[in-house]
Order: sequence, then C-alpha cells, then structure tokens
Amino acid sequence: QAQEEWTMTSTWPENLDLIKIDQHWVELVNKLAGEELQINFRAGGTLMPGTEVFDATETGSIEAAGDWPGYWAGLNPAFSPLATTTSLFNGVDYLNWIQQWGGRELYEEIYGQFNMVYLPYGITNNESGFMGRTPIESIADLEGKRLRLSGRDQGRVLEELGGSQVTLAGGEVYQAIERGVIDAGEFSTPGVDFNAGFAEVADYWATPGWHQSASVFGVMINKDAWDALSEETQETLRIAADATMAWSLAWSERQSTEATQKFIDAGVTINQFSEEDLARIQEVTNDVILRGACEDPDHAKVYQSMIAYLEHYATWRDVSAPYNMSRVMDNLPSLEEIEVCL
Amino acid sequence: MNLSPEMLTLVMFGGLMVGLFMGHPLAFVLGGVAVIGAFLGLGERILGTLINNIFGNAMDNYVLVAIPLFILMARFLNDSGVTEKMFDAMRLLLANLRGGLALTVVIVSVLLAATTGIVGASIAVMGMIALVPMLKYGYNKELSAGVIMASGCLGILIPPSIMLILMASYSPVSVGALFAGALIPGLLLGVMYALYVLIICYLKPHYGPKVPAEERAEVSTKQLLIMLAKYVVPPMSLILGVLGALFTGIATATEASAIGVFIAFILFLIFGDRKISTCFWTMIEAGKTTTMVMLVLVGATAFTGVFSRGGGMTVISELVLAMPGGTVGALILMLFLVFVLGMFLDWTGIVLLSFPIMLPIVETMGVDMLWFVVMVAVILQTSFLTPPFGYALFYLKGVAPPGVEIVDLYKAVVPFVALIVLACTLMAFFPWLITGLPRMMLGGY
Amino acid sequence: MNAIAKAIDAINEAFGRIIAPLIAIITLIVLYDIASRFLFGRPSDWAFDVTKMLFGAHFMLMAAYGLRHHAHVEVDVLKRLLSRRKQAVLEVLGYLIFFVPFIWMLITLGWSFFERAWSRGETTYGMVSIPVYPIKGVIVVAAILILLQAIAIVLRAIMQLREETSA
Ligand code: NA
Ligand code: NA
Repeated sequence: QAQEEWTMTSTWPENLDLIKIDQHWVELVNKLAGEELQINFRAGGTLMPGTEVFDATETGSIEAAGDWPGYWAGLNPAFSPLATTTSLFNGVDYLNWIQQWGGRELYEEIYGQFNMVYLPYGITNNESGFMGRTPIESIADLEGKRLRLSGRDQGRVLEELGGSQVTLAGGEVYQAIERGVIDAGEFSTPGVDFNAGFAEVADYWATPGWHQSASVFGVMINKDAWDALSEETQETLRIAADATMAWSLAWSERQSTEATQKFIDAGVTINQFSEEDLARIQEVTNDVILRGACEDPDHAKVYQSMIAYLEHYATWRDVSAPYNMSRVMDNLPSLEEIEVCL
Repeated sequence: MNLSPEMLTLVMFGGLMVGLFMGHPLAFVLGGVAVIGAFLGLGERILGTLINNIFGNAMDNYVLVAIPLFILMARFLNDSGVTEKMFDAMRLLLANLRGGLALTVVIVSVLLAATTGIVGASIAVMGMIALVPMLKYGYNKELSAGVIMASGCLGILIPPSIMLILMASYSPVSVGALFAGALIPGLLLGVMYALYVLIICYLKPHYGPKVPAEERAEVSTKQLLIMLAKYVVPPMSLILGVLGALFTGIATATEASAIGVFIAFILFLIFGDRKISTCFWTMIEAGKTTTMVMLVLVGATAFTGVFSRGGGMTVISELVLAMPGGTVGALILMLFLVFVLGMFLDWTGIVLLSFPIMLPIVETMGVDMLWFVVMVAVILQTSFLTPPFGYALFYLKGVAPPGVEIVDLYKAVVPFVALIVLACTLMAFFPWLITGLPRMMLGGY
Repeated sequence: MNAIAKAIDAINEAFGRIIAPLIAIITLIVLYDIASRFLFGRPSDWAFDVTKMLFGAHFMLMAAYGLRHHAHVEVDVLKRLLSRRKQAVLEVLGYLIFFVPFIWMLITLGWSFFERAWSRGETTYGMVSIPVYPIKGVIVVAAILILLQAIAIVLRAIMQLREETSA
C-alpha cells in the first residue's frame, strides 16, 4: 500500500479550467507512483484561500500545491518572470528555456529559498488580451482607459502607454466588464476566458495578449515531504511533470482554438494591434524590464538567463526560418544593462 | 491521535455544542475546537492552515470591507433620529386602520432594511419606539412583539445586507446577483407579514385597535403630508444612493457601502445633534458590532479549515447524498439543517460552517446556486427568531417594558416562523421569485 | 487581583478608543478611490490594498475592546439560570478548555506567520509595493490584547468564587 499520503491543493478553484493542469499531473502521479505515494487533491479554496497555499506548503501544513508563480512576486520579484513575461517569451521559449537553457535550475533556486521543490508542469501560450465593451484597436485607444491587468511590469507598460491599471480578483472581472467598472480586462487564455463567461459581457476583444505572452504553472512541494520520497518516486514525479507540460501546451492551444471560434460565433469583434503598435509596446516593455530587473538581484538573474537564451537561440532560429519555433525578436532588453544589476 | 473523519466530525460538533451551552464566546469556542480538532485529527503540523485561513478568508478579503461600512452607515442613520420621526408620521397616516400600528412597524422596518440591515439595531430601535405605544393602545402583546422581531430581521435579507455580502464571498455567486436575488423574497416576506397583520386584526379586532380619533386630529392632513415627505425622503435617498450605485454599476459593494456612510453622515448632520462626541461613540459602537461579526468569522474559518482537512466535509456530504428522495430529499434535508442550526448558531457561523459542505453538493446536483443561497438566506431569518437562542428575542427583551417575558416572545415568533416556512415553500415551487430579477437586471449571473 | 483586572480594562479601553476611528479613515480612502476614478479618470493604485489591510487591522484590534464590553456573541441563556458560583466555574472552565488552545495557536503560529513576512520584506504586488508584515503582525498584537482581557475576566471569576466560598 501507499507509504506516503499527500494533501495537495491549488490556487485554482474547481470552476476554473486551469485546475485541469494540476489534476492531470495528480492523476499521472497516482497512476505511476501509486505504490509509494498517493496524492489527495483538493480544489483551490476548499482548504484555504488560494492566496495562502504558498505559505501553507512552505510550512508543511500541506505537502504540495499547484500554482502560478506570479502570485508570489511580493515575496521575491523573480517569481514574476518565472510565471510570465510581457511581450517576450512564447510557450516554446519557456519550454526551451526550462528544459535546456537553465530555466529549471532557476525555479529550483528561487523556490528553494522557501523550503520548497518546484516542478514546472504547465505552459500555456499567449493569453487572450483585453476584452470589454469598449473597442481597443490601437495603443492610441488605451489612453485614459481603465483596464483590469495583473502584474507590476504589465501595469508599468500600460501606464507608459496611457492606460490605467485596475487590480481586481479574477472572479470579479466578469462583473466589472458587465457594469462598466472597467473598460476592458484580461484574465487568461481564450479557452479559460470563454468558460468564465466573457463572451456574455464583452463586445470587443483586442489581441494579441502582449501583457502575458505565455505563462508557466507548476507544483510547489514542501522540501521535507519531497525528501521523504525515494529517488525513483522523485524521478517519477519529474517525468509526470514533463509529460504534463507537453500535454498542457497542446491542450490549452486546442482549447483556445475552439474558444476563439466560439467568441467569433458569439459576435465578439476582434481587433489586432498593428505591427507598429507592437513594436512600440516592445520598446516600452524593454525599458520596464530593465527597470524592474535592476530593483532586485534575483529578478535580474532570471531575466539575464532568459534574454541570454533568446540571444543564443536567435542564430539557429533565424537560420531555420520560416520553419523555426519561438518568436522572431530583434529588439530585446539590453543584456549588458541587466548584467550590471546582477 | 489520528481520529477517523467520522469521529472527528462527532468530536468537533460535540465540542462546539458543549462550548456553546457553556456560554463561552462563540468565536473562541470555534477557534478552540479547531485547535483541539487539529491535534486529535491530522496532528500539529496542520495547525498552520488555521492562520492561513484566518488571514486569507477574514483579514485579507476586500469584499468584506463592506461589512464595517454598512454597520457604520446604520449607526449614523440611527443617530440622525430619522427613524423615530418616520415612524410617527406613518403611524398617524395609518391611524384609521385596524392593526395600523403593526402595519407601520412592517413598513418602517422594510424601509430600514433597504437602507441598512443591522438586525440588532433595527429591532432595538423599533422595540423602543413602537412596543410601548402598541401595548398602550391595547394591541395584543404577542402580535406586537412578533411583528417587531420578524420585520426587524428583514434587514439581513433585503439588500444591502452584510449577510448577503458574506454569502457572496463564500459562494460562486456575486454580491450583485445575490442582492438582486434576495430583493423579491425580502419584499414578499414583508408583504406576507403585512397581510397577516391586516387579516388577524380584521378577524380579531381586539388584537389591533385603531389609534384614538382625538390623537389623529391633533395633526392636520397637510402637516402630516409634510412630515411624511420630510422623514421618508432621507431613507429613500439612502436607498437610491446605495442600491442605485450598486445596480447601475457605478460602484462595487464596498464602494456603495462607503457612499452609504457618506449619505448617512450627511443625514446625521441635517437631522442629528452634529456633535463630535456622538460621532466618536458611533464609531466605537460600529467597531464593537464589526468585531463581533468578524471574530465569529475568524473562529469559524479556523473551524472549517480543520474540519475540511480532516475529512469531515466528506462525511457530511456523503450523509446528505445518501438521503432517500434524491435531489429534492437532499435539498430539504440541507435547508432543514440550516433551520436547526439557526436555533443554536448565528448566521455568520452557519454560513461559514454550512457553505463549504453544502455548496459542492448543490453543484453536483446541478441545482441553481443562486436559488439555493437565497433560500438559505430566507431560512436564516429564523435563526434570529427561533428559541432557544434567537438574537431577535434577546434584542427585544433588552428594550421591552416590564410585563413582556421571554416566554411571551417565544410564543410571539411562532406565526412568523410559519410564514417564513410558507415563503420558502412558495420559492421552492416558483423559483423565478428568486432568479427572475437577477436574470432581468444582470442578464445572467 | 482586582488591580490587575482594572489595569487591563484601562489598557484595552484606551486601545479600543484609539483604534475605533480607523473606520472613518477606511471610509475616506474608499471615497477617495471612487472620486479619483470618476473625477480624475485614474483609479488610485494603493487604495485597494490599503483599505483591505486597515479593515483587517480594525476588527482584529477592536476584538479585545469588544471582549471587555461583552460585545462578542455568546449563548448565555443557560448560564444565567445557574448560581453565580456555578457561572464563575463555567466561565473559568470555558476559558481553560477553548480559549487557551485558541490563543496559544494565534500567538505562536501568528508570530511565525509574521516572522516569515518580516524576514523577507514581503510586499503587495500591485503598482506600488506596500509592506505586508504590519498587517500580519496585527494577528499577534490582537491576540495578546485579547489574552490580557481574558486574564481580567478569569481573575474576576476567581474573585467571585472566593467571595462565594468565604461568604
Ligand atoms: Na438590508
Ligand atoms: Na436561533
């Protein structure tokens, strides 16, 4: 029978599709490592509020919790780029970087400061962008608008572009759009957004989601609970995480594909930012990344690794065009300036 | 110790009952049982969850900020003295009607309920200004007390209501949808109370005699109309300000509550004594009420954290689902449990203890969540009224003149509890009474 | 004993009176937030977090004052039927069985909760970084004030018992 029994929860409640990534990993683990470990998974909010799962895993009052690292950026700003980037990485970049360019080690280092082992196991590609009752066709339209947006870097970019950031809990975005409390809001990928009912309240959708070019999800595991496992089981958990990561990328793209069609069918008008606008957003983003990175050495370290990857990968990426992966970016935040802040 | 989930359920609820009957503060009973339950159940290491729950659920919760603000608003409105004058004007208006005074109590209570909703305050106020005149004019003792208590409880059902805010925070339903959903049921109960008063006074005239003609004659019709305009307008402005801001989407519930404080403060400046010391004591009283409500929440969130972690939730939901009669049986059982809990606990504790158990069951059964939450809200009206521990009974006893005994009050609530059960039955058969308005106003929820 | 109880009462009386007006500040901040949204077209970037923190501080720090003035929900119908001596016994027992474990948990775990936020300089993560440790520290301060008030209550119950015994 199972020697270890873990209680695991998540930042996501039962009705948010992101919980499926956590559930996918738990099912795999229970199937593959069930002899030694059984994970008893409880939806977010049932054991404690989602905002508290980090603290509870750190202290060991629960063994593990699925998360999105960005929620912990108040503890260490480095959690922010571990979770998402503004107009930088896409999903494949995260995959490359985590698996081959030293990303994984940085997750382990930063979470390690908090007595935890971290297995990144979910990647979703580009988020939807802003949805609301007011059309946003260009960055000029952002002027004076109130937009729900999470993240500090994201807010700073928006402010530079003339909009104002409104911070609302995820669950309040629907109502805020409906009541006109905000002009538009972002929440997640089209798949998640559609199921959260955004098509019912939004008439316009501004793409692409530059504010969150891709996202990473994973599981925090209390270090003592992890150490109590055999090496084989630890390895199984890692393999399950990698398998879930590949699954999540394809799953969320499939969900987003279907949901995009549903948004169109529901009569939502899609506006895409022009190339010039995106170039301008990149300019601003690069400044904001430099500024934020230099406020904290860990933050700088993560960005240094990410941008070094992008520069390194660029040669082959460009040579293999048009069959390349990753975004083609020629305007990156200055690596030299970030390295000064290390 | 590692108690089984079944044993843990028994021990924790047993401990809760013992502590309650000992007369220990409910917040500490809940918190203490949580700590003991953690040790007996999964062990010391899960204690950390208690702090996580207390901080995350109670202290770090923006939706709940509306609670102290609505409490403060109620206090300012109370201090403005408008309530008393409004009652007087209404009383004279309905003077020629049998049961007119009792009807006045219902109408004024509904108006008060739509402005604030602090049950204790509105029962105490109506108890002070209405009970003595009713008894003086020869009203039936039980009818008088019953109508004051039952109508006073409407404050917690008719929006804005701190109970609905708390319920929204612990369910997937938004504050706006819940406010819209509870409005019709709240008004319906008000109408039922009014009809009951009129019918019983028609059948038994000695239950509610008319106001003597001489007294009515002291005020001319014109004077009366001016009085009415003057003292019914202020609460109306508060209703429009708060509910208007909320339903038009200008403001969130928290913001609407702050607007309400602002308006109530203006009313205090116009009609009240305008003293800084009154303001200070208003804030002290608001602070006492706030900490009373919130500390129960602190204890209850600790309790449910341990209970849920130890598997108690699963035990109870399996019990409910095993109930014969399928969905309907399970629904009746759950609502009955809320009724029974209402005899012993206050609404804060009941919401915190029952929602995490019941809402997942409701979701599994595919029942409309908004409908269920509003049904619970309606039934929780009885938690103030049912002996042995109904707060409305204590509030009224606190201000009642000698000769009104607690036993009289126990008898007084019986017809009104029956009316609440009748209202629930109506809403079970006609769910649109609950879901219609939110669908119309919000398009969906 | 009586002197101690009176001193505790005085402390919590003063503290409660200082904390109570916080609610006015909360109201003003929310109103300012609405005004800045509608009048200046720009929502405040700190009001949300600050409001939430002050709310948490307000009701927690008022708890001891509430206890001093018997504001907390308790079901005393049965207790009132008993003799004063039995009431005092029940009071002491209630505090021993339920209150002691609860307050021990609040103080010890609350302290390490605070300590984790403090040692890392935890902040909020909006546009403005507001330190989080003060609001987490509130749990410990509130718990100590409540503990003091409970000591006053238990001391009074013990004095009551002694009186009844000697009488
Ligand atoms: Na109300
Ligand atoms: Na009751």
